[in-house]
Parts: sequence; structure tokens; C-alpha cells
Amino acid sequence: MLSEADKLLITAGVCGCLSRVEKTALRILLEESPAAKALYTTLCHDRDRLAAVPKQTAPDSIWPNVMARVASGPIIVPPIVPNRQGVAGWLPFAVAASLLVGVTALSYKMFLVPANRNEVADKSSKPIVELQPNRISPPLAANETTAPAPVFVGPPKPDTVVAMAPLPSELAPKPRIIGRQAPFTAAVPDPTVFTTIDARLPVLFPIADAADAEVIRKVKAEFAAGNAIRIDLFAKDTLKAADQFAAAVRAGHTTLAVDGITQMYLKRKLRLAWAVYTESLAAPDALAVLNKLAADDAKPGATPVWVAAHLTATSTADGREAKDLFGLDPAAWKKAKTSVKPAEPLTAGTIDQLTAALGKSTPAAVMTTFLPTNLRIPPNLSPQIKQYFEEKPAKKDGAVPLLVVIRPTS
Amino acid sequence: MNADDRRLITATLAGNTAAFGDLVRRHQDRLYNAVLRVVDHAEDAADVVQDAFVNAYQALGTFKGDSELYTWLYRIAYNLAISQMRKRRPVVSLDVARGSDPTADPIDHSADTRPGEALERREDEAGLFIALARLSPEHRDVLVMKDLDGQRYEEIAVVLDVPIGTVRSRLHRARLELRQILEPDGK
Repeated sequence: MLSEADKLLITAGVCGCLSRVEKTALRILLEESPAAKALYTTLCHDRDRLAAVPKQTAPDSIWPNVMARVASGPIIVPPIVPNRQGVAGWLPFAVAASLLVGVTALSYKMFLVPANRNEVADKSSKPIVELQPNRISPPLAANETTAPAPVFVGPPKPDTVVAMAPLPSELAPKPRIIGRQAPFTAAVPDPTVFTTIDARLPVLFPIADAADAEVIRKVKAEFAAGNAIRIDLFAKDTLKAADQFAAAVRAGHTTLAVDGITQMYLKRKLRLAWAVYTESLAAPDALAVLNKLAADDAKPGATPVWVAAHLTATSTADGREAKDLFGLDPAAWKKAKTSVKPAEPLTAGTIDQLTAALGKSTPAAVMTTFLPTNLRIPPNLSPQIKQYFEEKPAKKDGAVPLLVVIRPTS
Repeated sequence: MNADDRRLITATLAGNTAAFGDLVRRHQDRLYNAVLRVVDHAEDAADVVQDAFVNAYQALGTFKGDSELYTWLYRIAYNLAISQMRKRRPVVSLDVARGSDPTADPIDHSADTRPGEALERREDEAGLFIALARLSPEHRDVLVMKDLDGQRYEEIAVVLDVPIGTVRSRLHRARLELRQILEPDGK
């Protein structure tokens, strides 16, 4: 049964409008699916039938009729309308900017300047300013009989007429708390919020140290948190790294499916970056894989391939990448937890296990190329990725959704 | 844009009506064939093509040359064809494959045709056109433009004023729908 995406690829192929990657995907689909090939052939036949329909000649009357009507009327060229788009385009922005500046200035005056003025006015009302005889203050009114006696506060200076008496010292007011409602001010956070910070740092370690007790403790702690995890494995030679990683995973009896385009890239010995997704590795399994990789490097005469591992809980960006690579729903992926199954009888699932063991092995992990979207097959067009998500085994106890990226060091 | 089209347009805009006559000769057959599959009626198709050329002549000064002239002409003709179809009751015509004369034989360019082959081909074409006529208008239009008229996605998108992705999805559905209609006959 062909999926809608397969049919879309086939019809686009019939139209002959495919990108290079889509052409490859279509070729693989036609090779693997007889139903797809049959549909493609039939649709191509329909297309050819339509294209082979004999072309009709336009009636002879069209040309003379058109020319007769054309001869009776001149070409109507619409007048060129001055383009006011340029003015109209920037005018609203200019008005908005002016309003913003105006509102800012008004707010500043309302909130700050009046307060300063009041303070100055209050202080100037106090009798602290005394004048010299040759003062420049306004003259006395006619009905003003006596002027306040000036107080000498220092030796007279030429053209110096005002002297300030020392201001009485006052305690500074308590800083006012600016709430969110105050415009153009940032809210002051409550310092008590930051009493404790639980920082989770990514685990970075050389792969050769995978057996180190501290590394094991940290890796187990990350898995125990139950969140989806991303491991970046940095390698000097990603082609050998892909082989070794696949062998290490399969050594732990985990079946690894490799996407068709990725298989082609591997056959052509392209040193690209690779991505693997699985929900079948618990902490001990992941550590076993890492130890196997370290052991491969440590073999006598072997050229070291692996450099370092970077293990971290996934972020939103990782979720987007997983969606691009494997078509995963990031929200569901992040929330995935190891579920505790209700108690089952000992024989439960035995038939399924026997069937799985006798029949075709179900992939428990899937690998694709870690490349930009236009250089790899979309996940919904990859039979291997689709098969994995349709048939993937139940999540193992202690396992978490795991995205492994094998990438070059440079 | 095609250099010949550009030269003829320039001459037409300079007042040379004969140059426009050349443009009509260059494009009338292809335009007629495409419109014929949309309106499904030979006389209506001729009227639509004629009106499209006259409208194009009157608006030639507005043609910016950022697409092929044929695409622009087809867009005018397509809009006229839609208007034409709204005016009349929808009917299925079997004579569209043979032009306006339902009794005429198809053009046979082969000298050594087997006896009965012409009849088989005529039946085959009739079945195909009946199936085309049973498609929804939006599906039929994209199929006509792509397969019968040989237009590219970009040109179809310009004519229909829709994104290229919409053209692609419409073609997808149109091909499957056409196949579904043809399937019961085993054709």
C-alpha cells in the first residue's frame, strides 16, 4: 500500500519536476515497490496519451476577425500614474516614530522634571539665599518698606552676588520600588527568587575514558533523569566511525536500519556526518557502545578514529533537528518517559518474542545522514525510517529517546 | 521573452498593425488548442481566442515582458474562458477531439494505417476527453496546461495566480483522479 507521500513523489516524477534528491528517492522507491512502479507506469501512459492528442488548427476565421477588430481601434495604453507608493510607504513609519519620540519626551517631563522642579521650589522657599548689597534680585516694591537684612557669609568677590548657606543634612529616602506599570522602566526582580540554582552541565569526555568511574556516573545520571538525550560523537574519520558505531550497536543485539540514501553515501565512501535515533539503549547499553568504540581505537596497530563525546539533555533546537531528520514530534519526544508497565504473567509476550526471533528482525535504531534538508531524503520518503517508526519495539526499561550524531572534529 | 515576440510587440506598439497579425498567427493554434480543452466547445473556444487577442492588443502597452507572451495571452484567454463557461450550462461534448464537425475523420498522417485503427484511436480519444470533462475544473485546467499544452510549473502558477506548490499538489490530485475515472474501463 503506497502512502500519500509516495504517490506525491510518483506524480511529481511523472511531471518530470524533481530535485536531484527526489529523483534518487523515486528511483529507490520504484526499485523496491512493484505497486509504485505500476502506478508510475500507468500515470506516465496517461500523460503520454494526453500529450499525443492530435493538435487542432485554429479556425481560419480567427485571424481576419481579430485584425478587423484591431484595425477599428487603436492600442489603449493606460496613462502612467505617478507612483506615490514611495511617499506612502515611509510616511506611516515617520509618523509612528514621531509619535514615539513625542510620547517619550512627554513621559520624561511628566515623571521626572516636575519632581525636580518641586524640589527646587521647596528649597528656594527656605531663607537660605542671602544677597550682597549690590544684588541683582528684583527691586523692592513701592509698598515694601524694609528688606531682609543681608547676612555676610564671606569676603565679597567682584560680580559675585549669591552665596549658598550650607543645606541641612537629610537622610536619603528609601529607594522606591518601580513596578511594571511604570513606563520605560524595567521591573526590578525579587532577589529572593535566585536563592538556589540547579545547573546541569553537559557531559564532555574523551571516548577513550568511557570506562572512567566519573564518566559512568555522569552518563547514568543523565539517563536517570528520563529526558531525551543527544550524544555528539566527534571522530577523525566519520566513514570508519559509522562502520564502527554500527558494529558496536549491533554487538549489543540492537538491530540498526540504515536509510537508503545513507547506504548509497556509505557505499560511495563519503565522509559525512551521520545521525542515529533509537529508544532501545539504556545507560549500560550506551556505555557498552562507547566502551566498544574505545576498545576499537585501543587495538594494537589501529588508527584512532574517535576523539570525544558530548552528552547533553536535548534542547528545543535538538527537537527541531530530530523533526527534520526523522520526522519526530519534538514535544512528544521531549516528554517521553520510561513507563512502568503493570505486572504481567511470565509468559506474556513470549509468542511475540518467538515470532520476532524467528521472523525478520525489527530495527531498534535507524541511521540517516546529518546533512541539510536539500541534501538528504525527507524522513517521510525514506522506507527505512518509516519502517522503523511503524514497527519499532517497545521502549526498553531505563532507555530514553537517544539522538546520536557522528560528526567530524573539524 | 522570445526575441521575435519582443520585436513584434515593439513594432505593434509603434503602430504597425501587421506586426500584431504576425503575433496572432504565431500563437493562435496553440492558444486555441489549450482553450478548447478548457471550454470543451469548439465555437466557444474560437470566440474566446478571438476576444483574448483583441484584449491583448488593447492592453499590449501594459505587458512588461517579465513572462513569456504566450503565458500572458493564455492568462487573458483563461480568464475569458472561465467567464464563458459560467455563462453557459455545462455540457459534455464528444466532438471536441475532432473540431467543430462531429462527422469529420481525424487527421491521419500515416499512409499504412491498419483498418480499424482510426476508429480505435477515435474511441480512445473520446474516452480520454470524457474523463477529462468529468474532472473538477481546477484539476482539468492544470492537466491541460501541463500535459496538453506543455507549460512549466512556473507558467501555470502565473496563469492561475497560485504558488508553485499548489500547482504541484493540484497536478498530483488531478493525475490520480483521472486514473480513477479511466480505471473502470481498464484503459
